[in-house]
Amino acid sequence: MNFLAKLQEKVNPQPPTPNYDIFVERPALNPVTKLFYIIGKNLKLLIRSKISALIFLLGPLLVIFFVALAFNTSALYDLNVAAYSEAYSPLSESVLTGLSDAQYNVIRLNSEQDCIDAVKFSDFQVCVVFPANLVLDNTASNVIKIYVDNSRLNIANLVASQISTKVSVEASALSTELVTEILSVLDTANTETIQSQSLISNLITRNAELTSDLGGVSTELDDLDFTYEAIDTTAIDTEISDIKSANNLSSAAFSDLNALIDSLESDYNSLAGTVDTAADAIDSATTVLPSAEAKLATDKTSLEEVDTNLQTVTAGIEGIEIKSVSSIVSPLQTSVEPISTKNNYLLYILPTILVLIVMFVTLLMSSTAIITEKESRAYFRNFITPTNEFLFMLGEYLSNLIVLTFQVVIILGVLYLFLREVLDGMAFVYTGIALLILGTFFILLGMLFGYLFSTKQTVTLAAITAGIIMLFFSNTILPLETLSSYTRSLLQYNPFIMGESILKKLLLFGSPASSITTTSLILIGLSVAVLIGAIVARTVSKKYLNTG
Amino acid sequence: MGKEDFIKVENITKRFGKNVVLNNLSLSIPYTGIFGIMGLSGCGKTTLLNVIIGFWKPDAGNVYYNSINIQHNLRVMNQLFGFATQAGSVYPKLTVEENLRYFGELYNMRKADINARMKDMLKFMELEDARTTLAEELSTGMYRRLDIACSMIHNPKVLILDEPTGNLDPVLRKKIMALIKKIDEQGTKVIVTSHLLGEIEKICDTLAIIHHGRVIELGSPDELKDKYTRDQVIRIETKRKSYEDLIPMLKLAGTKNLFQKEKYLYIYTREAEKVLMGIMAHIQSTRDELLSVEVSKPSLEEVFEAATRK
Repeated sequence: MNFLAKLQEKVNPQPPTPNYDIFVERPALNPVTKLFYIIGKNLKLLIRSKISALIFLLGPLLVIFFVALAFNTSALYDLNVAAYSEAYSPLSESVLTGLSDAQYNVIRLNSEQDCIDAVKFSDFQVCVVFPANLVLDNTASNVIKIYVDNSRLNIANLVASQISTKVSVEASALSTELVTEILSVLDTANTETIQSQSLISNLITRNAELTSDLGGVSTELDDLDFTYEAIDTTAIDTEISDIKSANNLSSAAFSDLNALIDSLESDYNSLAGTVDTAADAIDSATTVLPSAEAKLATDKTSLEEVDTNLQTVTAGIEGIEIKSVSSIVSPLQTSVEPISTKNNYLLYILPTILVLIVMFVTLLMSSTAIITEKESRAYFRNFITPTNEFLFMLGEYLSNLIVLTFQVVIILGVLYLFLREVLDGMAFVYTGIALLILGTFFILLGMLFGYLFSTKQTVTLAAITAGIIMLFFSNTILPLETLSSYTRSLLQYNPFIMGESILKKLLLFGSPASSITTTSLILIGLSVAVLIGAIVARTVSKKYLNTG
Repeated sequence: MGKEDFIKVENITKRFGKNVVLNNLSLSIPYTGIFGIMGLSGCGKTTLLNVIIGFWKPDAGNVYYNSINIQHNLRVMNQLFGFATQAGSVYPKLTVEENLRYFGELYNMRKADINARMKDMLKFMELEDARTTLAEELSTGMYRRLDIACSMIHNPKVLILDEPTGNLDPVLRKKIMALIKKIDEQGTKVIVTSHLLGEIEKICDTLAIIHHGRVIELGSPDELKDKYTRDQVIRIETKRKSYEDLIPMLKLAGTKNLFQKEKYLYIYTREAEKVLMGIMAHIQSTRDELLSVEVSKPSLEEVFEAATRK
């Protein structure tokens, strides 16, 4: 040791060498105690970052408050309907009057193009074009055109359906009038046919009687015998001669007698002529009678046919089972009954809104919390402390869950103010539990993104993209029925859809808590899968941690 | 393993992908004194420190603390080591006290122990008046002191400081250096890395120079200087400030260690007089003009430069 070193040592003596061999290991703290501190730290970091606190704590509350205010109604929408007709008729006026109720603001425009442009470029949801002088006429074209903007998928179909329903109601009223008229005519025809049927029956009976009478006459005529012998006055003349001879009478004495005999002979011969004529007439009648009988038989057949036809017509008319006008106008009546008895639009949209809020808030909150922690240099120090790494993950999850619980309590509190008359208290409790189960999945997914990506921008982008994908492939934007069955079968595991389904059951259908068990278990299963992913991502991300 | 092998790094290799950061590096950190690690940026200093504290597992080799394999006893080692990074590992949104308390809890300290230790640390680091101030509102010097305090809250046996004076102004650097010395005097083994060689030279008892993932020099500052004092340093400045003709000539004459830095030419040689004569002759022949000439022993910085150029 040189002089300077010796001098330095004398002036500034070295401190005693520490004994590094003596070390008493501190016993590990209770993990729950550590967890408590980790959660406390996380919450402080969140609250002290004013913008984050504002967005994550107040944002959802404001959203739900405004949604509740806006949709707490049973009316549908305030729809603007553009209408045009070259010439409005009483019928088209009537349809428009039907539309002009509280839900539709009907504005008449000057041309069909203006009407279509109103849908294209203005705040009109639908354009209805009536044909000029719309009347019910065989020659008239009664096509009412409805123009909708199909790019507004849900509203377009809804509005078109609503307008069609309104027009159908008008059309139905008109049809009722027409059918009533037809039925009235048909009824009269039926009554008169029934009356005609009794006349026909009488005619048939009479025809039978006539036929029978004719048969009798014919038989009687046939039985008549018009045969006779020619008169012979020879015997009389012989007798007269005998008498004259016997009495020696002169012929003059018998002249009167002879005149009488001659007159008698003449009368006889005249009568024989008449009998012959009668016999001839009878012969002639006997010849005609079968023909008359045959004609009567033919008439009878015709009358029977008419009778049968009339019976068929009557049976047909009487066989018509539906004679009610409304049944003929709308033989199949559809009655759309809501499966929920709750008539409040806030309730209808609430499941979607709640899932949407929980999804985006938890996804963004947890992913941002992780990336903020990762970007802070203090993250590294956590790794070099004797603390189980999973305790930090658990701390992150629980911190987010606490914030979510706070939000859920406030949201349900606000909703309670609006819906306490339509929902019972337990529905709020189960909804809260369901939201926490759903939130668990999204928190873990957000954590996975936080561990996977290395900048706030990419993490936020990933979280939003994931949220949008889940939202897009739900029933909220597009009906799932438009997708292939295979895609649909996969999408039933979309957490957004599962969350919506759970909340619908609880809030709209009043289903018991047991009805959501299976879906909740699937959600928990998915959460476990995401948790495993997050653990792997955290382990991998540690390797790329910047410790400089 | 003797007292010279308080911490022994044995044949450590650490790769990040295809990049070999530590290449079969061996190093013994003695029991006493502040240990300094020097090296160019990217030479593997921080990686070495992370391997020592067990944060990164080496691909090959072992690290021993008092003959105990660190990798096999990480839970205990975590309590033995304190580590402060260049950027500072504290939560900006927590107060000074909350930061200390939080890390104390992570180090398994009981509440009473934390309170006692915190009181000492706040006093030692002169942060008593700022205990309720958010870390993000602290001045740079206070922030750095808080970071060191967080590294020491659990009363570690070894405090590792990675570039503790980086980004600090000269006054703060001086204060931090004094603090490091004070920590060492209180009985905590300090391992420090820095690229500010003038300062590290003043506080370190032992120095290691790392280059390309290997330790190329190890010893006290005096020992390292002595190693290079057989060479003298000639620093010349000519009017043209261009030494393209001179350097090949000197190399031909057997002078291996020379380089131009800014307007000066530095020549390390054991034959200063002979080399100077040659230089003068060359300057005359080229009609250049000698503006300044200086012959000295190398500083630690120059030793470092010479060592890393080998």
